[in-house]
Amino acid sequence: MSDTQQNQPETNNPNPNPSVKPMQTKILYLFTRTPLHVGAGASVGAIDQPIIRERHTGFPVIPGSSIKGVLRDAMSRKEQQDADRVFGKQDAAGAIAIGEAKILAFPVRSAKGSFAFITCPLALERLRRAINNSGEQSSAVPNSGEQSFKVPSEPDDMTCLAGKAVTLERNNAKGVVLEEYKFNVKGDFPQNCEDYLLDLLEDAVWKVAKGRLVLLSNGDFAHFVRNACEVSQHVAIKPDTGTARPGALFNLEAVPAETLFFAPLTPLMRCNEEWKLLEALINNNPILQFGGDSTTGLGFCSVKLA
Amino acid sequence: MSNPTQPQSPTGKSHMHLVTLQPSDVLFFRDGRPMEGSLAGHSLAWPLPNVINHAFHAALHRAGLAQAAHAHRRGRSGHYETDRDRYFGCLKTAGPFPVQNTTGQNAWYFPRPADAQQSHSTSITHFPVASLAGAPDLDPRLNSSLPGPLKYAVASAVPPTKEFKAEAWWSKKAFDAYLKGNGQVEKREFLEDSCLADVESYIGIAIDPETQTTGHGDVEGKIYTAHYLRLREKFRLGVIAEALDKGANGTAPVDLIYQLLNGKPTQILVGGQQRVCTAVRSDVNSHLPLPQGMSSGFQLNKANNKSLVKWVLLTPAIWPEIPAGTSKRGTERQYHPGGWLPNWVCPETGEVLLEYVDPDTRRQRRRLNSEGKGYSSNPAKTARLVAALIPKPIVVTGWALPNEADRTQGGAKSTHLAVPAGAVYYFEADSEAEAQKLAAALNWHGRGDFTRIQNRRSTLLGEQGFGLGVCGTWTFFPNVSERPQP
Repeated sequence: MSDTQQNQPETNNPNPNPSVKPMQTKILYLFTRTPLHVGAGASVGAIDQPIIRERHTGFPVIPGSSIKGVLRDAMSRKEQQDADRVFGKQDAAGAIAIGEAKILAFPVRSAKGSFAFITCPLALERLRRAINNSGEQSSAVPNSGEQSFKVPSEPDDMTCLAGKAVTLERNNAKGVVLEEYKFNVKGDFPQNCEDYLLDLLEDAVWKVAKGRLVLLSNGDFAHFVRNACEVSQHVAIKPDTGTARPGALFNLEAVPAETLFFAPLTPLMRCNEEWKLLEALINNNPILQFGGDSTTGLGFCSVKLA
Repeated sequence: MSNPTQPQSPTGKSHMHLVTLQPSDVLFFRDGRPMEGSLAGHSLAWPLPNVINHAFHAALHRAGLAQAAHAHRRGRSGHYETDRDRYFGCLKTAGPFPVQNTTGQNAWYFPRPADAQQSHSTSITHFPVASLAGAPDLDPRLNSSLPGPLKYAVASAVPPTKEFKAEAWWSKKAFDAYLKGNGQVEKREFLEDSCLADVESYIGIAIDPETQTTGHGDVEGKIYTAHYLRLREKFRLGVIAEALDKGANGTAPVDLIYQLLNGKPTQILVGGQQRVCTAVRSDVNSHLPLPQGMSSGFQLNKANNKSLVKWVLLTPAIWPEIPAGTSKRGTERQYHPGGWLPNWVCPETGEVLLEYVDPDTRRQRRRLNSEGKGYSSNPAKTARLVAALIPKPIVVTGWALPNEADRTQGGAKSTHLAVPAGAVYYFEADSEAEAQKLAAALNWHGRGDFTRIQNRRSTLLGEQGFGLGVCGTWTFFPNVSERPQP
């Protein structure tokens, strides 16, 4: 018989130590205003400059080191000493652990409503886990203000739960057309889930997501985030002739604008006033630039800490 | 067996706790080797036991539990500072092992034994060879290049193949079936590395804040590649942890693991780059989820009337070279080569120098050792190491901050080569009774009730989880007709 142990959070707690306070994670939301290229280096594939992705799901991610570098740079422009306190320096580690940003919603072309925001149970479950600080609890997110949501069950492949703004109706059948694929609509996108997601950001473009959210299976979502990212071709121009330089053609992959990421930020035990410094920075609603090619307009994001 | 002077664990059957660690994203483990340019260092591997132990040690400090904990002196080998500023010497861990979480149930997995090399099978493929092929009258020890005290070579009974790769991880069910010599188990009891985790490589590069460019000025040459471990969604790092502190100033003993993870998921840092894991604690309500070794019923070698015991490592073990010299008591200390050969095996004769002692006696001996008094031991020498199957060694390194007592200059610690988990040692004991004593000394559970770890047979870092093993029995290389088919 397989020996298994059930994870039962402790209830009988005869001798807890009240001085032990858990690290309280907060979530940094990143909403891309322009395409985002966090490069994985060169490639021998069809894409010369691919983006970083999770190996097993293919979901795009922004490494914690990239986020940390951007936040440090933004803070050091105001006060270098503050940046050193929050993010560390040689022989003094930082006071905040910065996790990688995972994808939550991804824009794709839609036959109705111009575009839709797709998500999937895995992405929602990860958000729930980050908020909940645990991967072991039930699927209910604790109340945030008056709102909460449950992660919906995973729909079958080629089916979805969709908002009305992107749902087509013909002959009593409902469907959405994303890129060149038709998905049968099995129901509305859960209202409490939509409300919860829309409240995550104040960005005006994100508010347009109302009625445009589509829940796909994890596999279908993975297909789109792998194959529906932007690929732009570039070539160097010879200044004397104004023509393309031979061999200088390359293509670059980028996550499209209006993609929503979230990253857990955890103040460590030694963190005191540093957290307030970071909150002050982000609560000022900066537009931060992540990834490469800032001078050509890539990577500008709205951010929010909640 | 628990000491009656110590309090019972709050709810579990021992002071040990089961802890699962779920990473927020990727984890970063590396050792002391360089990591720059194209050198990724040893930056991706299943984490070694000492890494996880250090994570718990740091978490106890960060939680402020040192304030009410017993303080130790710095130093080693009887040379101690007078000041007491070290804490949590009571911390003992084992693991990490891969744990698959399915609908709230945790299934633990363990490294594949080196003598079972077939895919989806627990069948033994490697056996000690009783006599040399074509020369049955020759003594295999005297007529071979076997090292040290070994008597028999170990050979594979199946031809090599590139078609099938044996899975790296076995479930407890598969491991128990292997130890008992039971037949096939289901395929799902075996996992490849890729089932647990993926390797992700990122390139890191410094950006000059002045010019916002790379590769120039102060940041010239600051580029590196790092490999990260990304556990799959259902997998955790499983750890067994114990820290029963005697308390400061004679106060009541305190269960520090319970204090740290007091009833709800808690985040702790694991590995490098301040990566966060969510730790969930649970009691040991029945047996620890480790494979259970044989305690009796060992095979008998009718040729010499010896009982045949094998010992399979569940975690790596470090046996350092011990130079000849004089002990603190003035007795002669003999040279031991260490390395693959356990320090408790005589390098000349292969005799096992261990003796089974009850926990109270062991505690007394530790105290005598700590006080530099030593004690007399009289091992029965009734068992002998006769063969070994040892995969390639693994490198264990560390980094230390400077301190006045025993390391005035910080920096890289000594590099050790450890025998990896899965290694198999073969013994002959004089009788079934002696074989049972040997098993009690080698099995992680000793003669215990499987609710706590009794034996950690690594000379170094045992408290950090090195040197856990289980016993089984073995047979000699089979005749052609009896060999397993690939």
